[in-house]
Amino acid sequence: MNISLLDPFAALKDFPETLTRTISQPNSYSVYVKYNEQGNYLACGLSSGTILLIDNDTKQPIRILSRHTKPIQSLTWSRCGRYLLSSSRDWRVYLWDVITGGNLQGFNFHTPVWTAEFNPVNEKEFIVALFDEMPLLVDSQGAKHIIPTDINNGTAISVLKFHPNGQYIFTGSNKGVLTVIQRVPEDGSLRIVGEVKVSSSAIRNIIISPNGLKIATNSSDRIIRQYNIPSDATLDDPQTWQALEITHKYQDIVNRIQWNSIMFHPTENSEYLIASAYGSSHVIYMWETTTGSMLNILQGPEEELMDLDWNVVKCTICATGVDTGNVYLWSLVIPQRWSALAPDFVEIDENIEYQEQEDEFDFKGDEQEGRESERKRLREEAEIVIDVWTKEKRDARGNPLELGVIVPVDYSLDIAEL
Amino acid sequence: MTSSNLYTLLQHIPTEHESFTTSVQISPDSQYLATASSDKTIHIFDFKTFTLLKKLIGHKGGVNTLEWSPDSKYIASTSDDQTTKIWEIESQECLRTLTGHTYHVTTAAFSPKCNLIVTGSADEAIRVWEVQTGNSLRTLSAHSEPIAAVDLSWDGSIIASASFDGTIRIFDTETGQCVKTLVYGKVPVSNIKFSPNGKYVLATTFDNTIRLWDYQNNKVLKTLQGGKFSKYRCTAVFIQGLGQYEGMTFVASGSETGDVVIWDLNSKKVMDVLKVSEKPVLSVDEKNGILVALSVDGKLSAFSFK
Repeated sequence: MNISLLDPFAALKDFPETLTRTISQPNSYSVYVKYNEQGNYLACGLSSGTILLIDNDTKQPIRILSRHTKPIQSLTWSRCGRYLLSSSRDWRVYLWDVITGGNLQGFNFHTPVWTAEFNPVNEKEFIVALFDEMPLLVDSQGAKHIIPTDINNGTAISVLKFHPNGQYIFTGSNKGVLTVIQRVPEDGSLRIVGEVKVSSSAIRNIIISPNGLKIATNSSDRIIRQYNIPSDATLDDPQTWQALEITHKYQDIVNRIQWNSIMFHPTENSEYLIASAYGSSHVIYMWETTTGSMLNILQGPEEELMDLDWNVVKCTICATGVDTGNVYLWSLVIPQRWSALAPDFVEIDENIEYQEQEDEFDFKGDEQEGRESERKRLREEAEIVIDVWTKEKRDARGNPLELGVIVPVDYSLDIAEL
Repeated sequence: MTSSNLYTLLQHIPTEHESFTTSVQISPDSQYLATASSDKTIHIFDFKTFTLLKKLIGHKGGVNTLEWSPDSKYIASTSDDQTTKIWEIESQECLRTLTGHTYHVTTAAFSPKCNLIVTGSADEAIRVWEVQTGNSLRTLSAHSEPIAAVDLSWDGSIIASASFDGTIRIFDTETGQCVKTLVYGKVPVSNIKFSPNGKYVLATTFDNTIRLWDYQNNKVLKTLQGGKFSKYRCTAVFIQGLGQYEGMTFVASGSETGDVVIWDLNSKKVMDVLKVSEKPVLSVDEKNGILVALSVDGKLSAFSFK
């Protein structure tokens, strides 16, 4: 509710430009970051395998989720904001309840796990990409279903992504093939509906916009490719995928930068795409997804940036640093409006030569009139109908205004335990 | 006007405080009732039977206000000993003592997520505290007289403060910036409360008036008169009409006449006046059709909606 009170030129920008905060906890090295949907909490996966839940208001850890013994590989929040799914280099995937901080379920895959992700519409299911094995869909009963992909002569699947409708899965192989798998609505079985040869080198990331109409891949050939995909109706038609054409290619032609991680602006239509740069450039690139033009470069940290996330509600971008394990936050800088401190002050852009008004210092003998107008105002007040109960559903940026799942304060938590 | 139209007396609740009583609050889950007193203690009652259950002892000075956490498990109390304490109800233990103010702490408000507490003090500063660590996150210094009351909007993103310097200020919680100042005359403002939807603030001033402000547009929308507030901080609450009054909004406030005065917000008419004591009624609260009022001389009464 605060946004409408702030300077609209500063507060209503789509993306942040200034590095405003660095989160660094003693003895902790962050490798993976993920905000929940409301932007209240940031889950930080550490190299020690611990997951810290950080309160966005205080930037302090409020939960320490420890059970993994090796660096965190991936984190996803359930849409409701209560559950967190983590995968780690200890070959395990855990499901956490952030309210209690407890570990609900654990899965050992007996082989390295690349990544694991919730089904966006059903948090009882998740998909997981494994080293040298077929990717799996794990359903609510814990049963494992093989996600069919064309694994032969050394092909491996290291990335996968759910379509926002939960009915399709995209996998990316080290040979640059994007495979589209449908969950057949009749029997829930999985079948391949399309294969797209994206590049000749490995696919490192797949991202998809929340409305499901844009998909982008980050390949080892230093090019991010963006495709427009049709709406749900024709997704199961192999023709759709054969005819898929690149909408935009994002790359740094001069420096030939490799991209560590990529991310869509998490609003419905994803107007922007950001990517963290490999190597010594220490920056995040930002492009516009409709025109494909580069928009901005986020700078500040003095180290290479690895994982990214974008908090759309609070308009904050965060990234992890490779050397220190710090988490860097870029957010909006809103100038103090000094006129807010005195209601009769007006802000001006430049000095104005003061000119006295004709009647400015005239004696006003019309106190009677003043009292009369006050009485009139009081009479008019009775006609205004006020509703003090109905809450706004959206904030001034158009994001849902809701508290979401609240993680209660744990008064006994000792951060020194880290 | 003196006849009871909306509420009937349910019960006088005996209190055991040894000095002036300052604040009464019903827990958000309607399970408990808590009272604070300048005898340095807080008493917890069962909200159904009105029996005294627990006493929270630990402050070194009189307790000025108390505030339930939104999850009803904790109480924050502000005291003349310059601290704010957070108590766990179940264990009766003081979990945090927030120190930093340099004079009497007069008011406190929890954020809806329970992760922050905002306090106001007679040292003219407002402080935002992290509940988890007990550290002061930021200090808002924008008033030039003691702070009488602070409140947070339902989403926790804005803070409203009332001060004896005659101004109401609105702050952005995240940055601590003052984003708005509301002034009506230069009369001390003694109480402030956000409407449940956060669009308006209800402010009590020492000219015996309660005003409902549209703070977004710096406009007074309703002026409520009929109570007496010229010396003490008397708190007010919004009440949703029930039964035949469904759809109406009432405002109830303590008054220095020893009554609770209840207005219909839209017509601004006084609907009911409930006698509690001969001494000022400093605090009122309402949940599920039960209204409780506490006078400075320890008279605690419960009324039920007809």
